[in-house]
Amino acid sequence: MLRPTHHILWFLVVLVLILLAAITYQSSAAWLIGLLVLCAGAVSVLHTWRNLAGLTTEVLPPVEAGSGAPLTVAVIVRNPQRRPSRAIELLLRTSAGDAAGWIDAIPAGGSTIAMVAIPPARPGRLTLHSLRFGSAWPCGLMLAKRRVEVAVALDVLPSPVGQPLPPRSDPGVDGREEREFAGHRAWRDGDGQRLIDWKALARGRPLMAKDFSPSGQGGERWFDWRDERTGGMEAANPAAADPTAADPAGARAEQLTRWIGEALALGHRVGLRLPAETIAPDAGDAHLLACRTALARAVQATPAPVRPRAANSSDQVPLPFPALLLLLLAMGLGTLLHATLVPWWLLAVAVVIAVTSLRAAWLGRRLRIAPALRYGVLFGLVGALALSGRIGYGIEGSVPGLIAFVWTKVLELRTGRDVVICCCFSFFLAASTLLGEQGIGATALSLATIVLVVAALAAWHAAGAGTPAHEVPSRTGGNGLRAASALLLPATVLAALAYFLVPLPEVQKPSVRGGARTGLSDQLTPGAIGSLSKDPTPAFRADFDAPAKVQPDRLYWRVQVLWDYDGRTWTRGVQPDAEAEINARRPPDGVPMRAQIVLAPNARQMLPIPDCPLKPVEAERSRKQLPDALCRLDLPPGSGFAYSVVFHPEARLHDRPAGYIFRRAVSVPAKTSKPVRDLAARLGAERIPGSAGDAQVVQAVLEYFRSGGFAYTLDPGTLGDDPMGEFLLQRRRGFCEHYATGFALLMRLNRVPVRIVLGYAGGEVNPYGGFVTVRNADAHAWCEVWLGGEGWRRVDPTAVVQIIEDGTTPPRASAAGIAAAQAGNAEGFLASRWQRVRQAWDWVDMRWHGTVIGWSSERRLDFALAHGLNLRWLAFLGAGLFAVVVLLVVWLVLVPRRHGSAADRWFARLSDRLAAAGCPRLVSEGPVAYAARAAQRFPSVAEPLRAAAAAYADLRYGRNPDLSERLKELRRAVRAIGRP
Amino acid sequence: MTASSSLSSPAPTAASAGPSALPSATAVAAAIAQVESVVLGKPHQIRLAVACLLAHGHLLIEDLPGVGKTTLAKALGRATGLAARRIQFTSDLLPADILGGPVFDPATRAFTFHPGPIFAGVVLADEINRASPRTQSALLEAMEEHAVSCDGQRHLLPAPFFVIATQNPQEQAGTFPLPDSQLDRFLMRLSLGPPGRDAERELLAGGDRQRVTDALTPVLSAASLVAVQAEVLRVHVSAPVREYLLDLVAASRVGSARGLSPRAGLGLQRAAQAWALIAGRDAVHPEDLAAVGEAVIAHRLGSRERAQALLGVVAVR
Repeated sequence: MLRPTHHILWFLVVLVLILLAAITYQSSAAWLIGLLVLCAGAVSVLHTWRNLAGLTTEVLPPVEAGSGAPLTVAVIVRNPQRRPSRAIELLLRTSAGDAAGWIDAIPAGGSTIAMVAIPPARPGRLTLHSLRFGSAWPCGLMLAKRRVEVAVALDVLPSPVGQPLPPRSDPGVDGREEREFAGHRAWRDGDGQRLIDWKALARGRPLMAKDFSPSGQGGERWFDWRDERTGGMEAANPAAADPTAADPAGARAEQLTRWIGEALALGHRVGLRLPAETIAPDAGDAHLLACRTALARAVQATPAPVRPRAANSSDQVPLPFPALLLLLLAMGLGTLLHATLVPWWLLAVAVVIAVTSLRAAWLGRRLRIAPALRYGVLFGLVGALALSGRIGYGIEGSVPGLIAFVWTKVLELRTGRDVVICCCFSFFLAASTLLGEQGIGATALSLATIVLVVAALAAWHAAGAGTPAHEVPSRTGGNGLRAASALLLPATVLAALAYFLVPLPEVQKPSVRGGARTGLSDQLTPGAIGSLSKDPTPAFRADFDAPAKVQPDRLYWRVQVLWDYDGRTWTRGVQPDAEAEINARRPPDGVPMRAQIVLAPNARQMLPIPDCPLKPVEAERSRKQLPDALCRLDLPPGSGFAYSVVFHPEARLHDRPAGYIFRRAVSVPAKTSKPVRDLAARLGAERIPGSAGDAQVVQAVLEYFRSGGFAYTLDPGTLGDDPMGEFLLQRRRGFCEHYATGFALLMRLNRVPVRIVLGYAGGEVNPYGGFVTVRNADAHAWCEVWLGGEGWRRVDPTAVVQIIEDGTTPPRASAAGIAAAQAGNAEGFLASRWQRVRQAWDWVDMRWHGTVIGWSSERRLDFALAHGLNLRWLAFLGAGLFAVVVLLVVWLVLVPRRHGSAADRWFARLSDRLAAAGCPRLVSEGPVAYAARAAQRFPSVAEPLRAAAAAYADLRYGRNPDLSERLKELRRAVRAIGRP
Repeated sequence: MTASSSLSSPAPTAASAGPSALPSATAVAAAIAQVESVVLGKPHQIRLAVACLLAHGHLLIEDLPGVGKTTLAKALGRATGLAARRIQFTSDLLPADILGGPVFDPATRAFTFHPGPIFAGVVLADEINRASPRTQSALLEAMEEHAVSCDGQRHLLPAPFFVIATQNPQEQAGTFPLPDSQLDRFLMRLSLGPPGRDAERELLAGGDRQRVTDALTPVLSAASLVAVQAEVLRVHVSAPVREYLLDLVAASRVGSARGLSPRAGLGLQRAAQAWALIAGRDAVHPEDLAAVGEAVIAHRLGSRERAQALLGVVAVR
């Protein structure tokens, strides 16, 4: 029978938290981990159930039972399953109280003997009522229980305890004359010298004394239950003062037993008067037994004293070191995954707590921390976190406090509940790292934490945490990692199936957005790109249909087009927010290409599009095609998001916007300084009218950048009030945003329409997938110039800069940048190997994002449609898979396991039939003996019975039996017997 | 199944055991048949005695005088081709009377070792509890080590060496009962008991036992017996049987300081192997353990009832 433990509530709460957080943050990886935790919990329930399934037991009561001494009952537990059973607690209900036992493990197909010590019983009848098994292994979510009726009664006979036999009358040294010699007895302190049997001593035998019994009475001696000396002795007896012996009737019976035994040893014939019966005088061992049995009956007739409950001394038991180590490792890894959110002093406190508790467990001690100190540590940590502003909303605001709580909990690890709480919150720590970054590396680390947590749970429960009488784990614990793998492997398969069927639900308005990369801004402010240039994380990856015809690392990726400049910041300004056609023309010989792009999790809604697109973006999510060949998602692509674009690198956009917008392409800020205006006038001085003149100005400005001593640097310093004047005329150092801005300003001052495009340029081609990885560091800004017959021509002024400052990676778009990138490919053996490893990892990460993280309900629908399934079929498929899972569980849970080999099953069938016919097999009967007995009962089938038993015995006990032949014989014989 | 119930269904003889019968089993069966023709009506005890001999053990027979203990020992020695000697234990018997000792040889003017009656294949130690503990332990030491040490010299006993000790359970006065530690050295304890009415009639009609015994023809020799003893050790003990044996041993230790010793477990396994060989099998069945169980266990646990309870409660695998 399975019963949920109280700890399962913690598990469910944390599970719901994980799944809710995954939905709120739109993190597919966290959703996947949540499903894994759910499936691991479900599989653990199955493991818990199967742990006790099929066990058979035998209770062997002690052969002799004396009062006052602990009795040991042996419980033989057999495990016919093909896997070991672990961590089983036994509880034997007896009339003398409950007794607990413990089984670490029963090997597969083997058995073990557990010793259950019953507390000392009073004389009388001791009944063993029932035997209960309990096990919460492996995760403590469920408690499997079984109950076996034992119903065995033992007679506990009184043990000889108490004062020595008092003399009936003074034996006196001089009594020799009146008494006759009655044999020898062991010497007792106080016997006179003349009583000693010196001759026997001289022969080397122990010190003996001669005993004399009064003549004429036949050596008879009577004892009486009401003899006040039996009660009076208690006061004198120090043992009577201790509360465990507060049983006057029992003490009386034990005292009488001692006296009777000693009197019988002296050769007396002993009679006994009890309240209910009288036993005539006799001698011999059988008589002693009869007297003891009668005394036990007499004690049984008196009311039993109230037994004081034994105090629970479990606080002294040390924690199991391996299980504690696993738990702390799991929590440590879960904490380190959040290292960026956690202050160093919290990590230091965690290390101190871990070391202290591990040291105590290693030394076999119990960590004893006063509650005041524990709460002081907790409130101190939380207060410090609050003061340093680390407690607030969202995941960033809750994780540090959670970590402080969990580590303080380690200080009071006592019960199974504490362990489950620590483990459940470690689950949460593992899952919450994936709310931002969802790469395969982060997922693998999170998974490793989950494995450690499950292993810690299994190790604690193998050590006895969570079972009722073993609230405090005291055993060493088993191999948690092996148990965790046995649990997590099927759970992973189930979780993958569940993820396939139930992708992350999408919500319309994600309220919070954590951890996702910032990506490109929607406007160009000074330093915006410079800050991104140090971020090596991938922004997106792109794969091409025709990789041979495209140089993926020389593409430009447009994200945003900016029109308005206020002297410092470029913004998009007011634009029509409606679907727009793409009006692009490709060169006559150009073949359209298709790029599949997988976007890394991103907080922005604008999609990178290869320059220049020919058709609208094809994506599963609802998106809007904007003017200027831009595309915007309705929602930020919280998870990895895939789309594809048809483009041609040489194509030009021809969409001339409405006049009121187009006029902004030549507007300059009013505060543009005089030197800049002069420079523009000088560069445009020789222009000829018309669009050819526009092209002429472009060349003139580019020539100014090429030959004017301009340098490329990522560290240009801050510019003052007239940034462009300072940059163009004095400093002449900067990077793409400076060059693009300067170029656009000089163009506009010459009335040439120009706009700024924000996006990415360059990237790294990965040889493993032929795809290109574009990183945030590849963010770039360039210009598009409207030339009458040509449309928007892309001009990248940064590419013409000749001077690259030392220590600066040249821009990818420039000639120097391409040369540097090519040179970088062959840089040393180790470096190139490292590059290959990095690229392979990138490829795996791309696949991960493309297939796993990008899995969504739309793609599930696409998948179904691509395989000819409509919605109804999909429903059928889901229902079918669900039914399969349910049937699997039912089969595992309800269908009795068929144990043993085919031979065992055939002989079991025969035994069942014979038992049904009234001839059951005795437990202690071998197969041949059983068959011989059955043959006497059913002479008509004697021959096949003998044949079946012989074949089975050979199969089971023989040396290299001829399996198939003997099995055939067995089958034939069993069929021949039929139903006798 | 307890030992008593196996009496009603004795193990199959080698002749009926079919094709798996071992060649040595046939010779052993012939020897058993020889002994059975002299000691009437005790087939189970004879088999146990032979199993004890084949299992390198020693036998303790506890019974009243005149039930055929000496006859059994002599017939066994005769049928197996071993020399049988009898030592009547008395309270003044000295170790040297059993083991032998140095004797001055006037011819060589040196002391030579004169072997005692223990140098025989089958030794009947009659009424062993009458001798002093010193003499008893001398015998038991020789039993254990299969050798006699005298003046720093080791004299090996003959290769199949089998001691049958007898004890009279009734007369206890002036005796030195064997302590538990010594009892453990005997593989089996048997009691023959009076023969059945049919057997006794046959006995009365059959003439002098001494002459009948002398008329037996040896079917084995010391050398072939050693080979059979080696073969016993090769009888297969399958995993379930071994687990059953372990269950028995473990159950005997429950709630009692006087459980079966590891030596007892070893002896039980070997005795069961010998029993299987006598039955013509090369693998031990649980029935073999049950058949020899009481004889092997009872004297170690102190009472026959405990042994029977143990064999009755532990489940066969």
